Amino acid sequence: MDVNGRFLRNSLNRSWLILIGLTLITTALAESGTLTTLSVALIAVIAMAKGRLIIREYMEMKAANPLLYWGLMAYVAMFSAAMALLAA
Amino acid sequence: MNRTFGEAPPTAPERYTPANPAVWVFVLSEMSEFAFFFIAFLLVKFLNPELFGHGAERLAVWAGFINTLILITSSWFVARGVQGMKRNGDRRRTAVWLALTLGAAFLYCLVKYLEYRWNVEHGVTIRGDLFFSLYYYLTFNHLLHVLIGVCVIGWALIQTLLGAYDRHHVEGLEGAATYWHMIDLVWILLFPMLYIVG
Repeated sequence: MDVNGRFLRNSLNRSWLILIGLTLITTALAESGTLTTLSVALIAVIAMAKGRLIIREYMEMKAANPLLYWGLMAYVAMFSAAMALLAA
Repeated sequence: MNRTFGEAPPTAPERYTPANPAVWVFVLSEMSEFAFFFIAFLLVKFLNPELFGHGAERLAVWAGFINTLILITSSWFVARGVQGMKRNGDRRRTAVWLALTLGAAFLYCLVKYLEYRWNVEHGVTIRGDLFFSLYYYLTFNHLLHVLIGVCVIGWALIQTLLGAYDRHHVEGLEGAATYWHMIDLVWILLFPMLYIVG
């Protein structure tokens, strides 16, 4: 229990678990049958959330140059949104 | 809350951007290259919606899924290595995390090989149609970037073992990590774009 507690106290470990969970959700949506507009929108939002975690936690951009930080966020958001819009 | 005249203003949170500007120029140029590929893919899809309608259904989703898990985990390994070095300058532990990253990269390449072999067995070839051509172009290009990343992480591992980094000198290690995270970030977009939504 203490080991689990220590493991989860580290934000990198928490992020890794969340990223794994979000990937499972995306794949489950894909395998559940025909994609609806709602499920495609959800997949795009999940891609944005995963990108945000990687940028903030793994790349340690939380306190970085704001131009760089928001540029990376915009990159992920723009292509996720474009993917969803073209599928709608 | 009122401040007394002459009292120092609250200090702004300290800004810190990992790695050095040269690494960021390199990383951003790589991301721009992928941005062009994404735009090309989305543009061709916009012009040929009927062609892309069922493309993803013929791809090996299992391979994309496994490689997503591998890349996410490899990025975690790298991040833990950097964190270990910054917190307590633990070179041995950082070297282990970086070696694990290289192991994950090997697994990624193995899954990619199995995926391409599965594709050929199921008639998914580069000459199939425009969707499959783009799929091969994008995924092979990503694979090449993983191989570059292997060299970068391998170099960081050697430097770690030689004692080039410590708690206060991590710029090179951060640069290698930033490149690897970029590869992961691009895959986070490629996976749903190619394998799920198509």
